[in-house]
Amino acid sequence: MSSLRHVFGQELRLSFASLMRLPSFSFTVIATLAVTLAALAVVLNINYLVLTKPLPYPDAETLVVTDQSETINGDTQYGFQLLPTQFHIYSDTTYIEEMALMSISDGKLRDIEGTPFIDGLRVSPEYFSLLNTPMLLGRYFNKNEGVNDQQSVAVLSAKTWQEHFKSEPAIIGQFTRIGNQQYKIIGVAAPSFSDPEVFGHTATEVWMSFSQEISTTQDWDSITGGINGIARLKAGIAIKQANMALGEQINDLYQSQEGVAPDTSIGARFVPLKTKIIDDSDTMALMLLAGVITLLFIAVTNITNLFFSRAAEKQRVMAIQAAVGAQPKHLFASMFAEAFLLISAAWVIGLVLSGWIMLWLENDLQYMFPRMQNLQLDAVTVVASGIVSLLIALVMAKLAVKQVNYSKLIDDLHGSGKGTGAQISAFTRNLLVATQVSLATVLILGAIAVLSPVFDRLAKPVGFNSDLVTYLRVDSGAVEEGVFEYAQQIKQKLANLPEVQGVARALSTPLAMGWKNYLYDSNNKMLGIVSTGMYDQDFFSVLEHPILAGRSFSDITNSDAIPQEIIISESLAKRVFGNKPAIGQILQAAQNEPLTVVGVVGDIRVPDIGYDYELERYYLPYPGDQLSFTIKLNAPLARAKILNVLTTINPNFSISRIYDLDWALERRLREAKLVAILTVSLVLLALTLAAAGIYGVLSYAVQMRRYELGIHLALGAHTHSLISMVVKQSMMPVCIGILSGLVIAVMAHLIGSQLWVYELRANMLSFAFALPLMGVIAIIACYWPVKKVITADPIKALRNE
Amino acid sequence: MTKLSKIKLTNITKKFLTNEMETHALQGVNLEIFDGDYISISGPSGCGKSTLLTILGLLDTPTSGEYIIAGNNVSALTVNERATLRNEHIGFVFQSFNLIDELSVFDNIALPLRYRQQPLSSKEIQSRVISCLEKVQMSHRAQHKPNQLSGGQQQRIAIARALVNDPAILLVDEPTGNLDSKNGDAVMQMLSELNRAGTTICMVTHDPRYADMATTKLHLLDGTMAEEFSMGLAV
Repeated sequence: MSSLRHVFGQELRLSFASLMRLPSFSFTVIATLAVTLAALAVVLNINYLVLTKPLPYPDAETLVVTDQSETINGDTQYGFQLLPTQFHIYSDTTYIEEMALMSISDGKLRDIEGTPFIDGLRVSPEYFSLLNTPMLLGRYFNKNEGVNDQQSVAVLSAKTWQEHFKSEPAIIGQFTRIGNQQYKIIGVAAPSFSDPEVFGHTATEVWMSFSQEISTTQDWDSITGGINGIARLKAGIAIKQANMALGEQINDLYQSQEGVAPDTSIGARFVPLKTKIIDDSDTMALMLLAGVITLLFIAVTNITNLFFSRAAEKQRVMAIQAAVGAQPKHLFASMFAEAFLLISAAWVIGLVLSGWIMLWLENDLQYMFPRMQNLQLDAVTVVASGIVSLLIALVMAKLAVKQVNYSKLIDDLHGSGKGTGAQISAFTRNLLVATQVSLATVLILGAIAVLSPVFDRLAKPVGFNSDLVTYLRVDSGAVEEGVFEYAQQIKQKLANLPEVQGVARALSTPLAMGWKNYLYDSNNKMLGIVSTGMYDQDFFSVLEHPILAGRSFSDITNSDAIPQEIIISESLAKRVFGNKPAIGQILQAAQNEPLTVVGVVGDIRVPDIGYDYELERYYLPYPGDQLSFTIKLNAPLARAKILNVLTTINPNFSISRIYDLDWALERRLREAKLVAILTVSLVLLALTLAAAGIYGVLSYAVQMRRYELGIHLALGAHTHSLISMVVKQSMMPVCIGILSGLVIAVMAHLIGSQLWVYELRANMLSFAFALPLMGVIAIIACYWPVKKVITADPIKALRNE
Repeated sequence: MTKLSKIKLTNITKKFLTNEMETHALQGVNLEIFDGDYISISGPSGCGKSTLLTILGLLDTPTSGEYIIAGNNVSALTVNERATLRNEHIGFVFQSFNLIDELSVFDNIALPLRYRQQPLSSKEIQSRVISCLEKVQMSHRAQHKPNQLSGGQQQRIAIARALVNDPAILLVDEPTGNLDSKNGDAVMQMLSELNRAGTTICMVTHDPRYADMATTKLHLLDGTMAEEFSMGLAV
């Protein structure tokens, strides 16, 4: 063993010297593996953080999120909670050991220059103790700053403190306004704290106490995904048990309220915190992992070919080593030293590269996956990719040395220049080509199956014209009276601007999803929970949203006389009224408040993460307690000009939010675009590697046959017959590769659809695209090396020049 | 004084099977090499010289017969045991030098020392390599690469490499085949000097002039030892 160590030490030094003399071989191996290992490290890191890494909270596996269920007409949906029911669960002492109540509360930092908008979360003090929140400054909430204690205290995230409070050391005890409320800053969380992503992948920027009163008797009208809880159940209580008991209790509470819709019920559906955070990100993470593993196999096949060629090249040296007493293990050490050096270099470069990639993609990765806060290469990823690299080095050395027939080595030493040295066997070459083609085919088919719905989504028209449309929300300051009149004034003044084509009032844009409401027929029969928009009479024309039947709302001239009208989408009209005309029919958004259907508008397709399009929507006239507008422009409109309009109406008015609809649409398509970019990058990388690999093997095969080709040429063979001869022979493993790739892809699809509930919409397009692509790559890879031989003088081939 | 037997071949045969045809490369060869011998084996092309040398060098196994080197019967040895014996007891000199171009002269000579069962210290390796370089008068070329040397110089380095592990026997395969006559003479002169200093040598050559420089001349014909002369006397 010590002898082998001694040999290996020297071999490393000698290998380094040898590799320095083989720059193209070294570069190809390092570049191929560095890129592959970088992709592997990034994807391993994502998978580790998303799926495997324990949550950084004490006894995290015992924490649950107090999700609720809501059942309407037998259909159950999850993830929407009510504040009073969450408060009931919070107050429970039979099943709940400790619970943190949480409610999303975004707002503007009014005392900070530019009044930045921040993502806030109202929490009860248990939030910090359950999560063992490390503090950078000050403290977190104590038990006297909890629910119904009427305290207004806040804890800043380290990032908020640095970015908005200039890392002010004396921040503790200072007051700041968030929204319309004053808060005393009592602490700054440590930068290492990652808050659990119960509400999505956005990091919380400020935690505020619940300053309003919470009870089980109010707030029953708002069911939302923005309220939730994190709890630890009492020892011995199973989630199922808690769900049954507490679910029944909150449903009883719910049913006891006035005006509860018939055929509706709620329940508890607690889920482990980790499951809630992972949500459905695991499918995407695992698909990326499958893609990158295929890429790794392609790269390893490439490297195998290179190492086979290297072993053939080293045959003479190894023969000399054997003649002076080197044992097979010494030859292995020699080959391993080279592989080790190259792959170590690739590993280090790959890790640096992956660090850059993660830095580059940080925002995108945070958008797509949970637990990407404080994103960096995890030690586990570094070790795992190191182990993979070491394994590759061992396999390469083993395979390369296996190619060398130790007992025949000595043949290389006799005479000078006798024989052509070692060669890679035809079987091995064909196996390498078939493997490359097979893997690349699987990857292309898989990628197309992923990409085709993504491209569908990217290409699907949204159903209205978002060009030059801007959404504006006005911050009315302390003004509470006469909002409707103010809104009318603002609308009028904005419409008078030369840059403005049209203005409409709207509670939100159609791109803001999540606004859902009950819908009843004229007999108070529940028709479901439907996406809802609240607009004025001009909205559909401003957005060029086609009205298919009927008209828009009657003019809304008075906040006390809102037209009792409803407009519905084409899909909703079809479901509710079938082929009967919808115009003039009665529907209700609240029981016993009939609304007449005055219009049917086209369906809109608002892309959202992982969901199908919400085609069923209804629209109500917006009486307006918020100053928000949708503006169609002719030309760019300066922010200052808008501000001027607002302040001339009321000096307290300012811009709360303003954004272009195109920008919002772009954000909605972000996931689809990211999936497309990641998949296409992976496939391009894999195809490049596979094409280079196939070229390498086939080029080597032609090189070995140069002499034979020279004879054919010398005897008068035409170039096209030689090309066709070589291409025909080379295409055999290519065809086998494509066929086996198809079989593997189909089997993987069948097994995958059995094991996981996922849907890959593979279609004939995948095959129509993948097969010719692989064929073309293979034909070019076959033709190129032959061309080089046959276009030179035959004597060169005969002399092996 | 009784000479110590270094190598003993008894009734060695070697058959090759090609296209279902048996070729008898060696047929019942008997040979004993003693400490300090300088043996030349000559014969026409295809007579089995190289086969005999590869068997002697443990690079190939005989079909039958017994081969004893330094008291070890090599018939049933594993690949690794044969490599160890080759490393410790045999020094090779090839017609085409077979130096490794990537390694310096020093590292080429030190190569056999790296495969020893008991590794040597760097200091000891250095002293052995320098001593061998001195023997072949190439001390001034230690850091050169083989391709920076002439053919004769390369062969001298190959001889130094063969000597570095203090082998029981030097197996020399057509040492002058790739050299001009001047360099060839110098190499042969060196081998004679080494033999005079006590090195046991077994050389394959078809050049009668150089064969004559050995103390024992063997002639191989169709796989059998035809004649044997020692200092001009039949034994």
